[in-house]
Order: sequence, then structure tokens, then C-alpha cells
Amino acid sequence: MARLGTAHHRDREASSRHAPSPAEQHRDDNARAMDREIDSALHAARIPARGADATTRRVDEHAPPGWSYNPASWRQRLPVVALAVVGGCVAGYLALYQYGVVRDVWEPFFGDGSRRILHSSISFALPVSDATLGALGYLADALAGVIGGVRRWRTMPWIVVLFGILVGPLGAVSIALVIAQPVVYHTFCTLCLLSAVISMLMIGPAMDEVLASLQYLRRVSRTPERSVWRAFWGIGRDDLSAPLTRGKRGGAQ
Amino acid sequence: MWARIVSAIVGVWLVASPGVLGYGGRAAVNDRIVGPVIAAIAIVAAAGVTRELRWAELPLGLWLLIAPWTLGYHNPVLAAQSMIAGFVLLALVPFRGRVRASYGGGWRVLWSDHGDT
Repeated sequence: MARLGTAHHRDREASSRHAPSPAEQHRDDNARAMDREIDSALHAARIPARGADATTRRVDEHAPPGWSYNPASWRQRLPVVALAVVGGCVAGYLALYQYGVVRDVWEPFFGDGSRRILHSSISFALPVSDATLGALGYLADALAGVIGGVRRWRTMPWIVVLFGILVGPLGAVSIALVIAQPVVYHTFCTLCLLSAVISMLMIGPAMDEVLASLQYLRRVSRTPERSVWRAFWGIGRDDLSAPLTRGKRGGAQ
Repeated sequence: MWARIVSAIVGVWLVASPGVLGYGGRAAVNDRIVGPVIAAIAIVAAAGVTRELRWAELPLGLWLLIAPWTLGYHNPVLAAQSMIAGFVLLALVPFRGRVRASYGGGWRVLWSDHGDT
């Protein structure tokens, strides 16, 4: 598709070459912009067709080298964002109960388990309650999940790595709290367990994108003229669009 | 995938068991600490890209095998439960399951010196 656009573009350039007046130049620029728009529209239209036909295993063109799919596609990212939103709602509801905004808390299995745990000293060990921190954590996960386009594993590794870092501790703290509930308080809190399960479910699906970004940075580090620092922050994106060949990678050793 | 699901169920059972069977003491504390960790690892390792994390169940399985002696369980039922759970975990670790996607050589590419795979 891109090749088609370029050919079209070249014709236009050839026809305008003999008359480089400012007006024509301007028109030419407009045409170029339009070409780019057409390209991206055609591109966008093609992605769902490929996604739907997963059995043929055709590779998405934004997929990292050696990958069968693009981990930064919305299809991959939205489920994790959806989990973060649900987790945020659960944690937010528990926080509202902890601060007395909501009078009672939903607890179908463990009697006064939720009430005891949510008003325990561990819950209030920090200046803000644990559920408040959890809700903020889920909010940060959701934000880090939606920021950036479908090439973000390459164009903004920093947000992908931040996303991976945010998902990890939330899960670790959830598990620590799940252990503390029965060991310290001899009871459970149903919604706290649900929140812990949600935070665990998010980790695996979030890690593929992190791996793609880290592999990309590793390839950059093997290419002598490229800076990992600049690649991490996505500086000089035009430069980044050049493919990293295997030859270059081997030569960097 | 099914191996991760069964591992997660083992973890959840260990958390629930003290309440269901009605026991306390060291066995209960141990099961309630190890259980959530087993379940968490199983859930994370269910994703294709993190499937290798299943090996982290190995030390937990070994610990469940020796815990009845190390911690001195008096009740043979609890000792048997711990050992069966440990055996099941250890037996499931080698089952990788099918991973349809490919990940550009996976995590090992990051610390290998010779490029992809």
C-alpha cells in the first residue's frame, strides 16, 4: 500500500517539476499530505480484515520482527485496559466504604470479613487507605494502557516499560494482602480477592508489549550508530523507521 | 493452559482448605501463604508470553513436599494434602501447553549476544 502511494506521489512530483512556482509547490505539498492520509486510511481499513482472519497467520505490518502479531494493537491492549477499569471500580468502591462515603460493603461469603479487613490497621498503615492506592494504581494502569498508537512498542518504549512496571507492583501488593487476610485476620474480603485476581490477570497480557519494546531496545543497542536513550524516549522517529537488519546486528558485536 | 488452570486450583484449594477442613496452626499458616503465590504464578504463566514463569512453581512444589517434616505437621491428613499438592504441582510444571503466537525469540533474546534466538 505504501509503495502504491509512493509511485503515485512520484508521478505527481514529475509532472510538477517543470513548473516549480510557489503556488504549485503549495499544491504539491497538499497532494503529498493527501497521499499520506489515503495511505493511512487504507492501512486502517486493512487491519481489521487481517485481525479477523487469524487462522491464516498473516503478519500485521506493525508486528515486531519475528512476531506473529502486534502486541501494541488495540485488540491486544483494550482487554487489559478493561480489566484495569473494572479493578479501579472495585478498589474505588472499597475505598469509598473505608472512608464512610458508602455505608456498608458487599460481602456474600465471609460475614463481617470485609468490614474487619477494610478497617484493619494494615489497610490504614499508610496515609491513604490501601484500596485508595489500589484504585490509583488501576487508574495509572488504564492510562498507561491507552496512551500511544499501535506502533508504541517502537515509537514510545518508555510508556510501554512504565506500563509493565505499574502492572507488576499492583499485583505483588495484591498477593501480599491476600496472604495477610487469613494469616493475620483469619477471614477474607470477597471484593479484595476479586481485585487481586484482576491484577493477576492483567500481568501476562501486558508483558508481551514490554517484551517487544525491550527486544527493540536490545536491537538498537547492537547497532553502533543508534542511541538506546533516544530510542527509549522515541526521539528521532523518522530515523527509527529504518529497519534494523540482521547484518547490522551481527556487525555490532 | 489446562496445566496452569489445575495449578491455580491447587493454589486456591490450599488457601481455602484450612477453612473448609477446619485446621489451624503451622499447616494453615503455610498453606495460606503458599497457596496465593502458587495461584498467582499459574495465572500469570497462563499467558503465552510469560509461559516460562511456570518453572517458578518448582521450588513451591518441592517445599510442599518437605513442609510436613520441616514444620512438623502432626495430622497425617494435612501432611498427605501438602505432599499431594506438591506432587501435582511438580508433575504439571513440564507441561508447557500450546503457544500459537511467536514472540521474536522471546525473553532470552534480551540477554543473548547473538541476535534473535
